[in-house]
Amino acid sequence: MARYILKRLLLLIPVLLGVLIVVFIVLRVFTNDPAAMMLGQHATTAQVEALRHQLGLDQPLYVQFGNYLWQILHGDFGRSLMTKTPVIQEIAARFPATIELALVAIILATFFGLIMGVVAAVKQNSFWDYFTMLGALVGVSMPIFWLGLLLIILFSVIMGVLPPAGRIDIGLEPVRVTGFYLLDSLLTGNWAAFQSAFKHLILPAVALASYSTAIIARMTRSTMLEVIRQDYIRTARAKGLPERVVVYKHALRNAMIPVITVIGLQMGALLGGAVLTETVFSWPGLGSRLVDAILAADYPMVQGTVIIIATVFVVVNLIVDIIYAFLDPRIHYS
Amino acid sequence: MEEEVLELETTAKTSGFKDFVKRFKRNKAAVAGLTILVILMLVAIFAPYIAPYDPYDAQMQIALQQPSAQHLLGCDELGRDVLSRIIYGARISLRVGLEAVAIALGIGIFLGALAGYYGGWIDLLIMRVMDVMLAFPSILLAIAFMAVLGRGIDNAVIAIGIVSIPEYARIVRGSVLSVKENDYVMAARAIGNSNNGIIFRHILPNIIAPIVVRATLGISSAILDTAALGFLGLGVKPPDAEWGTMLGMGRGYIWNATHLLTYPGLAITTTVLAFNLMGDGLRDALDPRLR
Repeated sequence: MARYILKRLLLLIPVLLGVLIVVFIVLRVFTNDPAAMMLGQHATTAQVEALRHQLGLDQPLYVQFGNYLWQILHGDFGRSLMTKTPVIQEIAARFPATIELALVAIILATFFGLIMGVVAAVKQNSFWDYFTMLGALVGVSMPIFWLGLLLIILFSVIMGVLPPAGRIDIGLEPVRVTGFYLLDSLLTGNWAAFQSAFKHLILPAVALASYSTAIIARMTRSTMLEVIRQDYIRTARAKGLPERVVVYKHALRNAMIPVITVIGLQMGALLGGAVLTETVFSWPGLGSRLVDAILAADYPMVQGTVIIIATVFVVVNLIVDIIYAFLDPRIHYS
Repeated sequence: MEEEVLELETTAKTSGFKDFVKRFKRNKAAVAGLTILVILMLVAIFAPYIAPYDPYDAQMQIALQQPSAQHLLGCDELGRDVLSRIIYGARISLRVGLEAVAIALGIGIFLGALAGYYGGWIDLLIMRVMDVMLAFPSILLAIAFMAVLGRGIDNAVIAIGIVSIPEYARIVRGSVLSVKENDYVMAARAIGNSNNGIIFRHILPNIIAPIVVRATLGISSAILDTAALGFLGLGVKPPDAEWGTMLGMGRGYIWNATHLLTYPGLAITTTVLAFNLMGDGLRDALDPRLR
């Protein structure tokens, strides 16, 4: 097991290196001259040349790549062209917002997805089965940003009960401990901040969770159906165990392994979905910052954000694989 | 003797196809999906004849008008007819969806077949590159490509097509690996077929089912990605009528013109739902074991 984890950790290196190469190629080789972009339309050729020299853009590509790698390994992602602050500082400031949103969304998705999947499987071909599976199908077919807009229309515009944008009411921000507002407000006993943060979180989290809920529900249903047909379930029933115990203790536990993989994959997918959800709800996370940066051609910021999100994505997938190995003793890893 | 064999082969083939059609037809949801898609295709093809107004005709005096008898789905922020723009939008969504999947499928099949058939360092190289691409959430990579390529339908096709390649490459590689040791492949090799001949004539036709299913479902995710890019302001160039872009533009009017936000989203969801229903139906009909 330890060897497997070590091997997977080592394999992370080429993948992350690949990520850096892809970002370098896409953003440095294919884009317009960043020096010209930074200086704007009115710069003279001499000014552009001087900046190119200063940024090292007049050097051969392999030298540029070496410099780029060196800087990134030292946590130096340059400065944002828009705000002039170091990219890494902005990322650190906004990262917790994205993670908080994604975590709450995955908790919601897992909870409701599992319930829907189990109900649909246990009551196969009933009204509830068709109802939940139709819901799941609509869930995977609906753009999450559209669901977000509909939720805003319903709960903010029409009913006026939940805020349409932002992360917390202005002035209520809790003292920063972890950067997660829900947690920080609890830790500091700031009840008003907790309430505000919670209210702001509901709509974006529901919108972001919708797609994953649907995927988890479908996966749970199909693995449950497979498990329920197994002999040991018939045995469990035959020896007179209550149905609840059969379903939750015998069936669901064994159906969980593929479901956990899907949950893990969804955690990664949520990071992509966060880009859209954050834009809809003006959530001050990495995703909305990335979109702003792209629209403003703020290329150091785009580069930093993309690298960080991809790295988190890869690490999350690795953690899922390791959990998977722990959970299923039948799987041998060499 | 030879004729007899041929005849047997044709009956086997047609009965296989007939079975497939029968199974597909029995699945009401799949037939519903197919019907919606046929209607959508017709709408896209005959858009100029169906649309009540010119989708690009801006009339500021009726900007943001609510749905009415003249404008069934209302007017947008520039006074353009929303229904006409949704009808024209079907062209863009279907086109990007189909073309992006065609690109991904073409390159993905090629790379996956190479990796699976030859193995060794070719396999290692191709699949590591695919792993790196999978290290990005697909929408993120598509956004990055659009940032570089600039807005436009063709660029959206390229961006979404490229980011979908690894999915197909993986499926094809897996399928090739699973059939390549079969007797008929050995036999084909023994009678002296070239590697290309074996891959294209003997292996690919036998792994087509999972690819078709994946491609159908892939079109729906390509359409969702197109809409997402459009919504973020990275999709088609204005004034092109694209559903996601319409939602992105309408977002600013959420307090006073909700009709700009409901109908384009409904169009996206219906289209994607139709492809998903058909994809699920195809999967069940093509491979009864997967049920």
